[in-house]
Amino acid sequence: MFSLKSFLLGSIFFLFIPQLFAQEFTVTGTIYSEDGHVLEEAYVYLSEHKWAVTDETGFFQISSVPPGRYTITVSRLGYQKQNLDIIISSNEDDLLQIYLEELIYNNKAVVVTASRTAQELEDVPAPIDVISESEIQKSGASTLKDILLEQTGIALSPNEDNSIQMQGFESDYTLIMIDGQPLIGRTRGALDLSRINVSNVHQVEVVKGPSSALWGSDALAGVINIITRDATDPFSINAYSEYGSRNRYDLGVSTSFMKNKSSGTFGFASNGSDGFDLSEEEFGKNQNPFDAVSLNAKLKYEFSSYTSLTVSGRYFRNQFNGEAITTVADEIISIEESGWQDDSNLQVRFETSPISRLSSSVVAYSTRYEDLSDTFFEDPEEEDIRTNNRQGLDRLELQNDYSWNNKHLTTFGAGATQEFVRAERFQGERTQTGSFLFVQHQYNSNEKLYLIAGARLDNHSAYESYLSPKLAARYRINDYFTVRASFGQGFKAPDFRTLYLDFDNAGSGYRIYGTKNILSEIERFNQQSLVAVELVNDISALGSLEPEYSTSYNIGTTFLLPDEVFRFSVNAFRNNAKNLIDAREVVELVDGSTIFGYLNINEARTQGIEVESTMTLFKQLTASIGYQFLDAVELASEERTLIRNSRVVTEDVEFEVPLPKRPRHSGNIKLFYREPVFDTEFSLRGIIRGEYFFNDTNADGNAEKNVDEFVEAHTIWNLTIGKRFGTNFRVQIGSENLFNYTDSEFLRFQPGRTIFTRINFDL
Amino acid sequence: MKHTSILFILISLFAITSCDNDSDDPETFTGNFETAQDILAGVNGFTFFNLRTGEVVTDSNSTNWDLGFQNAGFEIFIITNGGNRGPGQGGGILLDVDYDQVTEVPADSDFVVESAETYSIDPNPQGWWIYTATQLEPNHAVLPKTPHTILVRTANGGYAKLEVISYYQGNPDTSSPEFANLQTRPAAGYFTFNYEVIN
Repeated sequence: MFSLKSFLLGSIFFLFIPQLFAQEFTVTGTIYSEDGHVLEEAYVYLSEHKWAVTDETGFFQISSVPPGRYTITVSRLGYQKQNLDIIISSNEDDLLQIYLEELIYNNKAVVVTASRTAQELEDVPAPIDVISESEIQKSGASTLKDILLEQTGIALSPNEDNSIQMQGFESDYTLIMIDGQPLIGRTRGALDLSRINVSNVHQVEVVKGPSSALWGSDALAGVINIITRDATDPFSINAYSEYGSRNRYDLGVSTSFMKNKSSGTFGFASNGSDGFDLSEEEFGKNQNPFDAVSLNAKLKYEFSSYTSLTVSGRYFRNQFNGEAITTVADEIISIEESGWQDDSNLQVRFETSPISRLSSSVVAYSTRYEDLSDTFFEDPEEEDIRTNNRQGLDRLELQNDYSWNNKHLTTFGAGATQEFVRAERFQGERTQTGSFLFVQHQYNSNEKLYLIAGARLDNHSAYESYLSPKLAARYRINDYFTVRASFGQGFKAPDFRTLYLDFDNAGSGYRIYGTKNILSEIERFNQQSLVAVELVNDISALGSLEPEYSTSYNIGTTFLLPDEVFRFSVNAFRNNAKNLIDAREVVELVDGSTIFGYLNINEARTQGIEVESTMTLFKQLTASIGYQFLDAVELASEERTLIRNSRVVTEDVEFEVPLPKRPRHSGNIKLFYREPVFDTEFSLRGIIRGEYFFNDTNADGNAEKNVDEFVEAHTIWNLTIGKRFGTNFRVQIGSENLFNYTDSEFLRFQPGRTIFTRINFDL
Repeated sequence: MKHTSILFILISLFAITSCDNDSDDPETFTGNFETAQDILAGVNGFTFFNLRTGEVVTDSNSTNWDLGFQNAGFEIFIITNGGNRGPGQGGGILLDVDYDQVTEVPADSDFVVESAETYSIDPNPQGWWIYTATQLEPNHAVLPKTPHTILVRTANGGYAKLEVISYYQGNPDTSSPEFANLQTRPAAGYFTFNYEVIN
């Protein structure tokens, strides 16, 4: 089919001249890309000694060609090779105009997050999404948050700025990593995804469902792994600059090199804005003005084809300032706030193959996070408040992959982690240590069946050991249909907050103590005879917390046509979460005030269906839609007094309470269109959210219209238009939230319309 | 057409249950109810209420009252006329069941009788009421717990079921901004409740 098309393309521009003289001629021509750009360095071959390479104007010339019938072959890197039959019988200026079709590399995406080993995306038995570098570029996104929100099954959390929900869980339950190592620095459990600049990202891998069997704690709802780019060219430089509404700016420069055995990438990026404000009546802004910088570097040296050393690092700093209001002794006063966040990490990775069939890697990783915020009061009498919080994590990890033959691969490894947090509210520095072992076996039978089984054991100084298993299978029914099923467990360790944070608000009638201190505190009140009632049966159970965990099942199928012309996938999931930690009133004191403690009491269930479909309608138009149905409930049980057979009885009744702030229906629409005449790329993305209830206002566990507060169904549209100028420049203009949808009451983190322009330079 | 048939079925069902009531077991509720509005609870003493007449009475040492109301801050008392708190045959049961779903009166022995140690109706939060504190909206409010039904044995040995609708003057909309604002919130201690008495 293709050769017929090339033949037609070539024939249009070919001049048939009758053979008149038996002499030698000069053959000339120009080689173009399909969209009309001249192509230099194209190789034009006529016969063994008659060939040429095009110059910077795409022109070539082959002299001393005897007349006759020839097959001319034109090839160039990145384009389809073309063969044309021609007859040479005269000298003709610019005789041939040959248009080459761009070669679309159907590069099969390779992912690592699902098995800790490189696997082709379509092979992976677990639900996984990959966001490619080109998708990030086409959208014009600058931070991880922007691009994640456009994915099916990921929603912006209404609770914390720039954090996400996955499979019905808040962001505390999703592990976020860079090159397989965890990021730290969470606020109330949420990691600010706008801290991660995507300009050096090769791809983002999103595994949905628990993955603690590979990655340990926090991978309960899923894992987001950011894979940074490796150098692929001898030398390249990239610079971009963006400016948009509310003085939003984003600029950066990055460079990479590859020479002999060493390669590296370096990048600098800076972004910021004036923040945004949805309601003038409300004091302060929804987002404070900020300025952030980030630096990254990656250096790799290859000692041999299977031994290499990679050192990579990243530094981020964000500075903010703004105004807010607060309540001091029941009086509302305005305050000024300013501060910064600092986030850095360093990773050293050594890979080698000590014996045949075994590849090993050792990773040393260190990351630090610090934030500082100052609160200034207008009243000079009032003392300014400074809070400072430091966290760190150091890890050493070893992984071995042994391939028994082309069907069996065993992965095993171990590691040790040390974590600390230092903050006034934690009374100084707190340290925890942990170690882990993991093993996994993969079986791949002649492309049809693929099985993975694995488990990980986590030992920890602050809680009991935890074993997470997983089992996953993929079966390829035929060339088009694949089915997948997986089972796994995910856990989340009790964090520093639940272990150590003491908060004494005796003025408001309550105190909260961390698990490590609560027993001694209650004992202290007991000795002073201040305890009135113990509100839980077993007070001593407060002294230790177990990890929260979830058992999860995923089953799905994919229908795929060749060349990814059409792809349809559906995945059903169910997570049964147990031991969820909640603060409860545990002791009432004689003065009527209460003490709160943390308990493993809550249970939740989330289940749903995700559907994704992508189709390439013409070569220029790609459309995709995604949909998620979500049913997320907390499972509660309560002692209830009721009448059975005319007698009053008290029994435990189990009931479900819908979890708020989660749309039942959500989805997205994405259209990418490459307009061929002016070579312009259009990317339109719609993020659709169904209606959901925000607050259970009367606290009866039911969502009721007119009583509870509902967020109405809405769609946020983002549009980006990009055009290339020459081979080096790309200009984009775009609008986020094109139709300016805002809701100052509930969607507090959704800014209004942003218009931006972006210039990108590549060399 | 469809509505008519449903209505017909409902009427038939109602007729059947009514027949049952009359013949076998008279101690069932019919679903008819009265509403008592803005009964102001006592602060230092009780406000006494006669469920049979629907009136507030003052003579505490009599069987003229069935319930006594007192607003004592973190305890809200609804007492019955019996045991050590009155000369009548009163008692009470607090059920965690929707008012509409309570159709029968349980065995007499299951009624809790007032004594020095116990109240027939739990006066504490999480009994028939909740206190929202700062954890729920609206803050610092006393709201009737969902579900709850109070069964009462009256002073003369009859029965009643009761559901508290509001603890604030004028039965206000507790989801309104006026209610959320402590400056404009109506006064507390005013009981509005639905009830049905059977003998």
